[in-house]
Amino acid sequence: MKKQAVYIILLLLLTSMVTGSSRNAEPFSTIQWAIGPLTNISQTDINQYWHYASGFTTKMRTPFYFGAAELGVAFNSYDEYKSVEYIQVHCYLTFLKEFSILKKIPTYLGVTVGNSFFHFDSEENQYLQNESELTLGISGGIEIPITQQLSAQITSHYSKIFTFHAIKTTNVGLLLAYKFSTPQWMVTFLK
Amino acid sequence: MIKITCQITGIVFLFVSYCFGSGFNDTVRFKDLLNTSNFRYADFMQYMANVDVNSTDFYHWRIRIDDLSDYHENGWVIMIDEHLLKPQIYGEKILNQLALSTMLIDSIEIINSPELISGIYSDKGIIHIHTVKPKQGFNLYGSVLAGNESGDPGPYKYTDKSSPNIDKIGQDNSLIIEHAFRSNWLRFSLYYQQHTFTDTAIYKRITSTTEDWPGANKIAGSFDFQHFGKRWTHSISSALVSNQPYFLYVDMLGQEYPIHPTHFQWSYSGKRQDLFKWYADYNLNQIRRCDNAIKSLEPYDQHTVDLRTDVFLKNLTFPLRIGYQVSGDAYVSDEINTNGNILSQSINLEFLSDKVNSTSKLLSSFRYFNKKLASNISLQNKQNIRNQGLFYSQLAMSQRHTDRDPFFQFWRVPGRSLLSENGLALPDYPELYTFYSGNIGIKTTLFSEIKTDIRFFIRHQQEHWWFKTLNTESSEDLEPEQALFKFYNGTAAGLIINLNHRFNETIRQNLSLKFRVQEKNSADNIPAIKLVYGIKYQPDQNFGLFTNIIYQSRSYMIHYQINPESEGAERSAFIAENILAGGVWGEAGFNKWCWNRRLLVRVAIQNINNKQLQFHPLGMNREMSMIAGIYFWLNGQ
Repeated sequence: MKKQAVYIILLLLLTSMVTGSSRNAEPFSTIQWAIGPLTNISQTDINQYWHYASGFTTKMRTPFYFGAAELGVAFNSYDEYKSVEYIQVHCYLTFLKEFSILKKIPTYLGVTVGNSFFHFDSEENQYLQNESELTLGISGGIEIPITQQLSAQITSHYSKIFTFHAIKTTNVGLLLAYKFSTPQWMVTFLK
Repeated sequence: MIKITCQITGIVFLFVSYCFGSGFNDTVRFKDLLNTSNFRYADFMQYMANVDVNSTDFYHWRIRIDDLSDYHENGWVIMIDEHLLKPQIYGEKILNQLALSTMLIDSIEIINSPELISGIYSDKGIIHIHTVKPKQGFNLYGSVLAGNESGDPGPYKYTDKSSPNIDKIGQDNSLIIEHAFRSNWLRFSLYYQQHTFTDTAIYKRITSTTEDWPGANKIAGSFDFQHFGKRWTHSISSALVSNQPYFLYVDMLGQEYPIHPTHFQWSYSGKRQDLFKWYADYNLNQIRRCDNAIKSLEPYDQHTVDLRTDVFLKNLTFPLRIGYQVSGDAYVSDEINTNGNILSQSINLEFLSDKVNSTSKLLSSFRYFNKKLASNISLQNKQNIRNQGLFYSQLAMSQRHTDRDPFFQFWRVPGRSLLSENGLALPDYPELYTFYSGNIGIKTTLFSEIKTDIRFFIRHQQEHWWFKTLNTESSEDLEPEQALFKFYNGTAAGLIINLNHRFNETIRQNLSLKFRVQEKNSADNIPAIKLVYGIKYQPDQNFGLFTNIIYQSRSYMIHYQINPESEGAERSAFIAENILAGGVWGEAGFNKWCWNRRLLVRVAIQNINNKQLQFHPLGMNREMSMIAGIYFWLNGQ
């Protein structure tokens, strides 16, 4: 995807968030905790060197002043290249907006800001085995309700890690989500 | 053509200004600092349209407030709550060498017209920082902030696409403990600040002078006490700041040098209501060599003492304010035999005429130094326009002792031997120089929602100076003892527009524009147009999003002689192009308050379009970066 296209989408999403008027729920009134495996579906420069091994993510979503906010962490591991394996830990915050096409199956689209921490498993250069880098992305998903509290989520996440040679990845995930009312002490804290 | 335009504009402007007979001050508050992607108060100068900045490392900001001075003169004044501070290294004032956390800032006032404040007459502007006053009882607050720039190699460092690992932001942490009683308060503060200098533009130069990791480590502590009675107020401020190693870029030598500066500041002020104030300020700047330095600058101590009074006689027909200042400034090192004249005195007067719809001030100042008298006069007027706005104007003629500019003061005494080592010397320069300034502007509200402030300014300086840089590989262009400095007249004129618009309950936007023309040979032409636009969306008092866009036109650095268009010109760590590209830079972020406003989380992306951003031809480039941090107040904010 071209850089300009990403910025245009970001701009549209931000505009949509800012101008969105309806509040579906009181901010921080509920928390939806989700966890599930991830897989990488993109073939970009980085895949010429390393192959994606496995990944999973866990995140918490809550209604926000506009749409919803999501705080999460994703673990992605990559296979060996020249005796070097690495793990990417992506900590992120997503501002989401619901774009429901079907009434009972909500769909979400959002922008993500975060940081990717790399841990390299390498014999050489012990000093530089950890690194971190700014990561921006776009996130989307479909939620399929199972019960009032349980649901399944199919998510897709495009991210760009701003290393000198940017790393672009697209991950999809299948997550199980559980929704509950936020404890009052936590509402007080978050507000 | 520009010269003629400036002169015609100047004559018309001065006439109009004289006929209508205030200066213009900009004030930014703590909340404004939060709505940017920077976490150090000194960084904020980039966002002010009426302040010009220049930096090689995004840490030491060279500042020009009066639109015409050279960046190195440092003729402006820094005050914190009326205490006078002089954190100087090699004749340069360094804002980041204060023991001050952003959390302590209530507001920063930029005064760029002559004013009489706390006994001091400022002819080249004041940066006056006002700190927050403790509320009753015990309070504890602190912050942890860090920045991470993009452009690291990531996994690619193990491949054929490897690139250098660059760090250039660092961290900023503070802890403040205070207690306020009924009529006293005291405050202890501790700071740790780190800034790294591994950008490829400067890394080669820095590592050629030191074996240390190229990062500044600042540790600072301060103690403040205030007693406030019904009539009397006493205030004591003291601070100790140490930075090791610190890399000072010396423009004349085209090189960073590792040094270990320690600054001690002690200041006392007292006042009886607002009628009689007195002040004593002591500043010590101790410069030492770093242990692991390969090349280093000469060590020395600089002691400065300032005694000031400010008396306001308000019962006269024309209320009169009288300020008196005596300053002593001495350098001490093994190699200094004499400091020459170290004492100066000034008497400053302000006549006030305060009517229902207008306020006029006549300011005058007389400074005696080195057997020469420098005289200053300034006329200011503010006029209400039918309660719809404010018309203001100011006209000033100022004289300054060249040797009282920190730059000349330093290179004339302790820096002299360093110049000699490099085959350079200060040329003969005038003991006094004169400059003129004028502002005329209007503040009003348009369409009942847009607060507007439009100001024209003009500056003219006689015997203006700038210096040529001694680039290692181009030094043959300089004629020793002649070519280092050049003196001549300089004129600049321009327009500043500030617009502040409240779109609705949740959205606010503001725009600042500065447009300036100046003679091409009058110091650095940086930049002709600067525009800062910001929009804030605050759906709730505890959450806000912001976006800022900054446009700067291209800049021309006159003392860098390599023109990129000239044949064979090649940029290196020591040789630079003399034109800095202009462009548009964007940033965005959010602030989220939690726990009944005890906790504030800040996240911002700087230079979001990853555009080349430089403030100096030999300086760092700012990549897209992420700034994140947490502030904590025990008693809430």
